[in-house]
Amino acid sequence: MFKLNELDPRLKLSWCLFLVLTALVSRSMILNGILLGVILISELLSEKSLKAFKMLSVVLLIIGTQVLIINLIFGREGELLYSWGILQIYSGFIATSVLAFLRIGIISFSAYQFGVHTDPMDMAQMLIHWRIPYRYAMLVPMVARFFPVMIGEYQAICDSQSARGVPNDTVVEKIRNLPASILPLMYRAMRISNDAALSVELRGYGRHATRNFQKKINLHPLEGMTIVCLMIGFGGVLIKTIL
Amino acid sequence: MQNEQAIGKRSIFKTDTKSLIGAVVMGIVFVIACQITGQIDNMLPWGKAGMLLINGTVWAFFTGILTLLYRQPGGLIAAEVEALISIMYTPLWPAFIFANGIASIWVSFVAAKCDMTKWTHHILAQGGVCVLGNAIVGVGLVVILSLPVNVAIIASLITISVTWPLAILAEKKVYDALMKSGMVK
Repeated sequence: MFKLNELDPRLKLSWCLFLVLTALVSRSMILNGILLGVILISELLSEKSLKAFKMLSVVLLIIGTQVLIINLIFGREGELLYSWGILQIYSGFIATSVLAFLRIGIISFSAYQFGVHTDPMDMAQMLIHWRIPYRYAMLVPMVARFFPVMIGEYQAICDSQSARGVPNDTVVEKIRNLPASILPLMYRAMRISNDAALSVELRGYGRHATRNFQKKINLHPLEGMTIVCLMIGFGGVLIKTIL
Repeated sequence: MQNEQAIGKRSIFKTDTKSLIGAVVMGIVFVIACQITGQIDNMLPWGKAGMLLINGTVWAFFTGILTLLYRQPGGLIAAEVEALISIMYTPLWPAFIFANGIASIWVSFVAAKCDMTKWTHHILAQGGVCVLGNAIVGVGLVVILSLPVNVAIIASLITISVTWPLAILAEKKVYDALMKSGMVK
């Protein structure tokens, strides 16, 4: 049984790009369906559940419904099925919406899978392997480090607004409170970034051209061959679509 | 005073650690702001029709202000942090990668030519951000979401016409306030 976390980040990125580009290029519903199935099966084999996709699935269902409604009202592909005043429904809206739904599923799930199952330090090492200076490559782990911190800061601001009795129930109230929650967050972000910059500078960040890592990434020959196969596979899809 | 402090007509590059880390942290604030405004938009009628007007305004404002404050590559880093984290909530992320990048480069280009003290400078900067960004997102609506071309064009035009003036106002006010406070030099 394989674990997605243990694979080389370059292979995972190649897989993600292959899926995204194939979904964008191909107009075959069968191919898109197979690719979506492969993503879900690989997730099941690796993690034994699809829990990671739960929240994203809800978002995609909402977006998919919007796409379906817009295509139903404004779509002009296929034959005219029904007409009433300015409302005209064409037969092509179902196929277009299903293809769009498969496509957004592949694009979102593949990228999410790459993001969730790739360690930020591995991503940094991958960028260093591509000759990006480590001062810039290390910004990836910093995003992962500061994301929960800033979410916590935002929650603290919202809690302090609630404690002051600021109403935040209706849409109008939420819009009115937007500057009062975002501007303090910007201020806190500047303060945190100043402290963090000083802290890393004093520890010698960027002083040397290279940096050591506890765990190094190594591309296994089999993984390298898989990357080549993915590139050939995408080339095949591209040629088939063009022809 | 404002002319002395304004970043315009200087190098578009700023590669110190404070700018890089500041860009990363502000990029996360950018994501949070886009998430909140996206949720607000979705509760409103235009949001249900797929037009994120408040979200678009906040996106344009942050893209502009972060590039003005952190220049390059900070502006690009902050913009791409937002685009990459948007993987978690929208399938339009491939379009955002290009839209955010091009918008940030446009603002740098304007800031290199203008000193950003006048309204016209911000109008020009935000014009590029809104038009280029929404044009790319419009392409994304057609290619990724398979929306009809006329719907994507109308949605993009409405978004540009609403977000452009609002983003100019927000960017000018916040930029002047930050410069006046001396918090960002």
